Amino acid sequence: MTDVATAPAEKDGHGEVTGTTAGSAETKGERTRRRLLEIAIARFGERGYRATSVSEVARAAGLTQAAVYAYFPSKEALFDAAVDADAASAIEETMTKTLDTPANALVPMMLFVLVGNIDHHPLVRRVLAGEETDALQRLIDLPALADLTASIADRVRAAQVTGDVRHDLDPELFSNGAEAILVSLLMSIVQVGSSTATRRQIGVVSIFDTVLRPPPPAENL
Amino acid sequence: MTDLAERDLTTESKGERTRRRILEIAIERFGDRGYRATSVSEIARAAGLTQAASYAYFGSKETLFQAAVDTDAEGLIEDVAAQVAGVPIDALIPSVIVYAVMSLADHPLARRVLAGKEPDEIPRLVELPSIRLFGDLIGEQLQLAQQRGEVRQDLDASVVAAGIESLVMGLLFTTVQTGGAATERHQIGVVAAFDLMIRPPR
Repeated sequence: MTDVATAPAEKDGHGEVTGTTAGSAETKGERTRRRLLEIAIARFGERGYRATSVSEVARAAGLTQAAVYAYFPSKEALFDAAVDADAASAIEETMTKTLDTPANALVPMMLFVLVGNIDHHPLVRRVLAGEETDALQRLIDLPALADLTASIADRVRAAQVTGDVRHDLDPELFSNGAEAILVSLLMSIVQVGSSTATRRQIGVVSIFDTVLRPPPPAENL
Repeated sequence: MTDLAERDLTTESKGERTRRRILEIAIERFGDRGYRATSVSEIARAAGLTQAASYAYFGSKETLFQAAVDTDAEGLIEDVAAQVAGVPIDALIPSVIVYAVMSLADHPLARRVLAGKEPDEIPRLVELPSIRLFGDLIGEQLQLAQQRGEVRQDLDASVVAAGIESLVMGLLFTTVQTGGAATERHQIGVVAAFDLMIRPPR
């Protein structure tokens, strides 16, 4: 939850995440907002939308309930913002940790990082577990997810230039499919638990490699 | 449930017939109202049996529920396998997902589990033998298509088939739980990804 509530990460030409807004430049209002979101992520993540009250979030942040409503006009708005912030930071971490991953292993590695970090993102975990049904749609349409997808397309495009990825592949199309597959696998892993057979994990890694890998020379003939 | 119902009707013993009938009713009731809200006695009654008689077939409510989940999931897989027979290899996987989503209407209990409403059952569903068989079937189709030159040669059919099992399960989960909310962009992307996976490069 490092970057909760900071400005959206900007991408440079290579699709890399540049630094997030500096903590020193944060105003008091921004700081309070960020703190509220951190508490909301923890509370909503642990006990869900219904069992969590705005007043308990306010109390934990040392604010009155009325003061919280100055930042978030309703419980729903606070919940939505908390889901967005938790997901955005999970995605940002994933992008940072996969900067050096080769294109043909990028999507499985992203999945691996997301699964590995999921316990640090209790609210995302809860939504993916299907326990906040209304929020699922939100997670899928999240701007941060679109950033992740754009970065997959950028990396694949760059790997095409270096000859590491087959040329008869449309990076945009591929990245959209990869996004849908990534989200659905993450969801099933959260719901199924770690019982999924190694055989299947190897299969998924192999699929993404096969999709991207240029053919061996003999097949070009 | 078609195959289940048509299977060797003539050679089926009375006990097998009763067992099948209990399962059909259990699939419908559990699928409609879930594990907790459904009682063994109402299923027995609907099957024209006493509760005690039904326990001779299934030792506990949990056993009955699990057998019903397995049977409904198997039926779903059989339906899908029948519908995709003859579909060209490059359209096979997306067709599997489309037919599976459509066939869920006839498999209320499988649908309920995929929707996440019986969380304890999900791990069992994923490890179901018939899913493994289905994966093997896909592997065979890939291998045959490789021999015909329709699928790239540098692909290990059985390894890729195991991955396809995961992807299909995952996509089914998301489709059911988001109410089919995937956008067109996602759908086109998934079809393209599956196509690229197997297509011999140009």
